[in-house]
Amino acid sequence: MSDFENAVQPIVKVDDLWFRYEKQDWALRGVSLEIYPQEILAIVGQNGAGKTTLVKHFNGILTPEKGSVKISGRESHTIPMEEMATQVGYCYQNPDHQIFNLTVRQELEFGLRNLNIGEDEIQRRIARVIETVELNGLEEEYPFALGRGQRQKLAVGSILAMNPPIIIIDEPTTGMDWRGGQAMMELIQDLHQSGRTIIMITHDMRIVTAYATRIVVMAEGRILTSGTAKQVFVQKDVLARAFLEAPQINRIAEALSEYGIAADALTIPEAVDSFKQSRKKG
Amino acid sequence: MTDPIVRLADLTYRYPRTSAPVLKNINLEIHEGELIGVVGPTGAGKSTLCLLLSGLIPQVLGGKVLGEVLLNGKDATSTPLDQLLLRQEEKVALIGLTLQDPEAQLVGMTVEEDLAFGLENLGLPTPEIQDRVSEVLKLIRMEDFRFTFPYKLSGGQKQRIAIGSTIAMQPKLLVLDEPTSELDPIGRKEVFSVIDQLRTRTNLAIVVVEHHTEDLALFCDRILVLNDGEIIMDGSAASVFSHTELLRSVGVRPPDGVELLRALKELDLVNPPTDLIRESEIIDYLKKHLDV
Repeated sequence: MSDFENAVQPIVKVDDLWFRYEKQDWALRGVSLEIYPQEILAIVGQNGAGKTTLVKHFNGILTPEKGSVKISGRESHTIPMEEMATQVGYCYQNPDHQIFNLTVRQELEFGLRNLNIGEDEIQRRIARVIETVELNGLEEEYPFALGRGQRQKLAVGSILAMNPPIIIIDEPTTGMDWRGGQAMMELIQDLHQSGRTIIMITHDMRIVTAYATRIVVMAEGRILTSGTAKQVFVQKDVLARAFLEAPQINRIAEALSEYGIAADALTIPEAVDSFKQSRKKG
Repeated sequence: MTDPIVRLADLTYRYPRTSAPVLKNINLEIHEGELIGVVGPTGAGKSTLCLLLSGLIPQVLGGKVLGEVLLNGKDATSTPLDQLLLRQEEKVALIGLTLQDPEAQLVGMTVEEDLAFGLENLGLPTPEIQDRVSEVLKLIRMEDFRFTFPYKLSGGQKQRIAIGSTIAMQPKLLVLDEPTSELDPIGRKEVFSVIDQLRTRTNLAIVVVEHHTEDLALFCDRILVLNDGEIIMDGSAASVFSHTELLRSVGVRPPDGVELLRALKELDLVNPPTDLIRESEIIDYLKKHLDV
């Protein structure tokens, strides 16, 4: 990790960020965080831990009360809105909060029409996005006639159309069944592989384990720890403070650690390997 | 055995203006005291089943019902709704429904007002309302929040209030449609511990739609698997969750612990009985069989 950090500048740099809504209690209490290009960063923690408040600083919706948030070296709240839309895409937890046009196509066009680009380019981008989010054939549909998973994809699509290098997704799989959730995560992985930096907020520890390259654990407006799934899920005291639980496989593996099972096994294949090893020794 | 609270016989249902049925050939009886988990992919008919069990289908939402729907022994297609859903003389509701988003059903300025709302509509005298509210606060473990503004509560607390305002009416059947889908892990735990509390302390029948099979394995006696409008499995949690391949084939993720046991068995490392589905049972079993 450290070699990587030395080589690359952070795309998001948060330095001692403090924030409160109106004059209430501090929602963020001195958060510092560097996010590097092409991470899939998962931010986890209880409701009210400050996760959404933190990411709303990344696209300049909120302005720090103290400290700073820089996107590619510039203070986020000073970046003009139309430029920000091409830098940081933000998908709300509930896609219905951002869908407001009468057809899928109009929804995807909306942001582009504010970008001062030619009609040809607009249509090219929309065609590509529809392909990416798999809404082919639904261009003229009324968005609210789509299923929840498709509306979530539409919300992601309208952000992709702006082609931002940073994409924030708040609860990408809430309200979806297992297959819908997997399809959504495959889309996110594709976006990641095409060079985007992904920042996601989620409660689903299995998704975190399977997809995140790094996890940030928040509680009460602070970052408690950050690291890979392996590094984070062994810190039981931190998990308890953040009211989080490791995935079930890890809980089982940990309970069996005195029997020679790797306490940091997170997935079924890892746990199975560890069982095989312990049998050989036994 | 007492008469079932719900009896569906050869039930097929289609919504108004749709041609394909959403529920097909459903046969189901629900008895008091049962805690039933419902799983299935999106579009399987889970929410429609909830609306049917709550009496809102067909009389409020319309559509066409074939077959028999008896709720508390009464025909849900023809019994006037006040008689179907309430027992006025006893001042109780027969059926309660709680939805995904608890905010959709919070109405009061305090938790107490929320819990009292349905009771006031039933026309209960104030002292009895007070008693029932106190009792419910204890059941949902929210005694300290009686005078709190509901919107200040966490997601899990709000959902407990939504459940509480339903059970305050002392229904015989509580239907919960994805009550934890918008909650963090601790909120999910809170809601399930309340469900468990209700199961042990009352004779209420509870139907809960939920994607987290690990939680259902822990709490439910019986699991229904819906796919494409049909009940494709109906059995004990242990028997249903041991069919991991069938579950996966319809897009339901079995508990990870069960999948782990299955993988270990395929490698001949262990030979567990098929009814181990709870995390603690799985750990105990593996401890015994690793101790060589």
